[in-house]
Amino acid sequence: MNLLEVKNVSFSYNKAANKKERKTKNKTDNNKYITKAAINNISFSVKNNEVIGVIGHTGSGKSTLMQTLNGLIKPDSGTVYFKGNNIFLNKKELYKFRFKIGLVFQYPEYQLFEETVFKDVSFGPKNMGLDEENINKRVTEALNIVGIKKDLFSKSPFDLSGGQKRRVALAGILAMKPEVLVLDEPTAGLDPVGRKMLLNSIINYKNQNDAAVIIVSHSMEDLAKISDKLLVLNEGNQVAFDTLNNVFKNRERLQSIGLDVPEVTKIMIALKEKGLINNDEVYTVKEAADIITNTFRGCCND
Amino acid sequence: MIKDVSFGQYISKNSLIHKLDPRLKLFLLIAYIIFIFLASNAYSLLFITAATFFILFLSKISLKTYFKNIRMIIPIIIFTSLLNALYSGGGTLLFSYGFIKIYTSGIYRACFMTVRIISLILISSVLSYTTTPTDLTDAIESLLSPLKYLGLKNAVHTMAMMMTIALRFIPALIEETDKIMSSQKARGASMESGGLIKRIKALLPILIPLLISSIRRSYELAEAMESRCYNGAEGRVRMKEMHFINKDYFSFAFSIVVFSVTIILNILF
Ligand SMILES: Nc1ncnc2c1ncn2[C@@H]1O[C@H](COP(=O)(O)OP(=O)(O)OP(=O)(O)O)[C@@H](O)[C@H]1O
Ligand SMILES: [Mg+2]
Repeated sequence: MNLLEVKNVSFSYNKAANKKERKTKNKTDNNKYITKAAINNISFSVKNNEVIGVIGHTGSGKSTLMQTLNGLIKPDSGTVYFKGNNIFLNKKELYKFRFKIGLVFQYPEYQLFEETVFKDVSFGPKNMGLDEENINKRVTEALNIVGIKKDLFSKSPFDLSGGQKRRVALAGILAMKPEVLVLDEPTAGLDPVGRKMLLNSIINYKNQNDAAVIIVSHSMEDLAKISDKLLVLNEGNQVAFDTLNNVFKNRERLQSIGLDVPEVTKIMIALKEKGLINNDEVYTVKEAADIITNTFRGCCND
Repeated sequence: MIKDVSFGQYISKNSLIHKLDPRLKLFLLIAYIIFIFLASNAYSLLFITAATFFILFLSKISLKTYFKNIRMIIPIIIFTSLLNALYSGGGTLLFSYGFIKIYTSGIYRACFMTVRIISLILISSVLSYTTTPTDLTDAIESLLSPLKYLGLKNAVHTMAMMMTIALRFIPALIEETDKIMSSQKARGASMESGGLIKRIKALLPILIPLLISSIRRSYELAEAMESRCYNGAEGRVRMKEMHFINKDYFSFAFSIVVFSVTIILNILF
């Protein structure tokens, strides 16, 4: 069964202003700007233990879409179902879904506020109304997953490094044990080691809790490494929601919206064109290395 | 959403009023306000109100936009009208009920005050609609510049700079607040329920990150300014020098005529 299902969701900012603009600007040909929605008729779904990667050019509506998933933004039309329940059905119950659908914002480190790391991570579980023992257990677990050592627990979150802050903020969401984890560019601004650690934490959490993950990233490489399916957005429209193979097969379409296949795939495509290998449906460096060594081991041994 | 709070009312249009020197606009606004108060009879008040409407027309901004500002002060208008209507005796008695007595002069006073308040609001809106906040602070700085003869040159400059920076930061702060509120809501924070103490406590997760990011921002800005050798008013020149041009002289002359006619009408009737 689908854990989270998004059906025909559309949303545009600043409706009042748009209406006014429409009146005054109708004479000039500015209709495109006026009627432009931040997201337009998006539909996709995600199952347990599945990772969906979301890509699109800057301003394509990724962050907007992520905020509709846990009800921070109410779509103008369409809706979101969690385990078959329309999350927007009852306004008073909406906040409960936020514990089930955990959203980690772009640059989440700016949300930290408590005196200690431990207290900050327990903010979410406290809001859930859990008892002390349960809270402590979850917080410790979450901080473990993101790789924050025990000696940092009682430090002020403001004394941490950027990457550590980011991980603490992620732990703040993980401690609520969401069944769907939504991440908006979690690795932006981190160094390669930091990125790898963060992605590993996310995958570990997913595997331990059988959770679904929806992750926005500008890095095709990162997404190719961890995603089962890709959702491609362009100017608020859904260009594709499909498996990696199917999305990357149509390279022209990706290029036409300013995206491309991962770097390593470009190499493999070039090698295939030269007739050196016979499979270019490869999206991670590891797979590529395997294929290349296997192909050429044969050739060089004789 | 919190973003809807409009800040800075500047509306970009290509009109005579928009192009006037902001210093002149500020100066004339003050003059118009004084003369609206000086207009002491119906003729002079109606005349200067008509002039005000002419200026609104010149600004190419719709009357509807202007009247939006008036909507907000309707309670004040009603309150002053009532006070005036009730407390001025004179003329014939129109209406009486118990101790409430309304005379023709009361009605006249009420109308007079209403027109006066509306003109004041309208003429002030012209300035805020047609001048960018930055131009406005520049204008204030230059109008306050005579203070430099009192040895206050740096103080005037610092104040104007602070105003400019504050204006520049308000939209950024609003955006930031919005973002932090969403982040905390995503962690299940509720801001709309509970008693007073609970609500104040619920503000902390928003205020602390906001405060910290403001401090961070101001450090960054201070460093950016210093690395560009900013050191106060000393030796600072402007990128856009303000000059009076024909439009400005014309508008000044027009306003002088309006003010003179207002005074003449005051004296004649
Ligand atoms: N708070 C807002 N108010 C008005 N318009 C907004 C707001 N946030 C985003 N938009 C507009 O909605 C569109 C989609 O923005 P969104 O932030 O969802 O893009 P994005 O795909 O996340 O971009 P990025 O990769 O840069 O983060 C953009 O055109 C943007 O200008
Ligand atoms: Mg974004």
